[in-house]
Amino acid sequence: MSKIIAIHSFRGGTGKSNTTANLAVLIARAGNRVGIVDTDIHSPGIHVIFGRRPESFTHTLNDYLHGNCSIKQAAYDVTESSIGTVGPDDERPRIFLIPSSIQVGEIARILREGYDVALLNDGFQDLLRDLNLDYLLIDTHPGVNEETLLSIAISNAFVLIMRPDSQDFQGTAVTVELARRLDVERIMVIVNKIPNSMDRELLREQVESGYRATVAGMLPLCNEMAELASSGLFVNGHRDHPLTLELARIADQIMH
Amino acid sequence: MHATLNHTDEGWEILVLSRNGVFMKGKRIEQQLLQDGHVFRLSDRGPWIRYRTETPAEDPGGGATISFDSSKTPIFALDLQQLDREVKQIADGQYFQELQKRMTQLRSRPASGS
Repeated sequence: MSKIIAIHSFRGGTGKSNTTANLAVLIARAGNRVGIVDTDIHSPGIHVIFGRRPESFTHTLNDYLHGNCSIKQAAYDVTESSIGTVGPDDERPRIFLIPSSIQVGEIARILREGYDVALLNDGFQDLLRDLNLDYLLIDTHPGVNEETLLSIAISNAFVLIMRPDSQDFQGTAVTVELARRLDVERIMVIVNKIPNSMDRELLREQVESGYRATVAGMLPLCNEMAELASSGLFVNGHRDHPLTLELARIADQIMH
Repeated sequence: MHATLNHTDEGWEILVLSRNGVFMKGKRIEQQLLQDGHVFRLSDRGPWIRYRTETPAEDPGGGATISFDSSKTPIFALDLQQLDREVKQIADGQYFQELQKRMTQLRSRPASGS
């Protein structure tokens, strides 16, 4: 059965897009067909991590929402660049990216005109069916709005990413409670960018007791990720790094 | 009175008196010999307290006997009243209410087709 995984954070800068991209690769490598939709229309960027230039996109999610194309036409097979060479007829693993437009005019237009949020849900269902996806990862816009609430509501698993930061802590609690009221099947919290000096178990305990939700992973703050600067996929170049190993544990929880 | 701290031959010990309990590492305790760095919580939603025996680098000042904490792990305080207010504000909104009602419809709605 296909699963929709909404990946969200209350504030920007939590490492949501990098975490989404790297989890997608790990899930795909486990033998799955994975789609990633960048619904952060206000500030898209996950395509950068996959090494795709915006001019290579004939269609984007924006075009679909404006009724100019099917959502399948806005999906790009990024398997080779993110996993490596896979036989052209191999059904698995596969990764598809559905990017949002970075053109300022397009962003301004969608902010000005809005879009039918229900169309977004239709698009997700079309992707699952037309691309025969095992997992659809939704990289959401930070904060709570209609689009993020929809993504939360329709997800099979809702992944919240936060930093060990007081500003994140309160806002993330709000989002967890909203997800609970929307009867989301699974709520998983990831604490990201944890300095080495912090007591991880104490952090975990605070998050789990404060939110009454599962902490799926505790990701360290690491120089190598900062130095990569979203120019590529961390898990490919750092296969034995503690960050990669923890991401793999999170991916495993998502798949089981 | 929630708990008492008693000095024994083995060191300081916390003895829980309140029905709301004291929690360490997610588990309820009744009595615990404290060690440097131990963190416990008064009730499952109450304040966090860290027990330290290390001599502070700086004198915390007369009267500031419980304000010193050199740990680099912050203790996050959740404002439950603010949480309830913010959740209510969103959850009582029209979109959220409709989304809750329409969830079954949205999940079973046929896709628009490519």
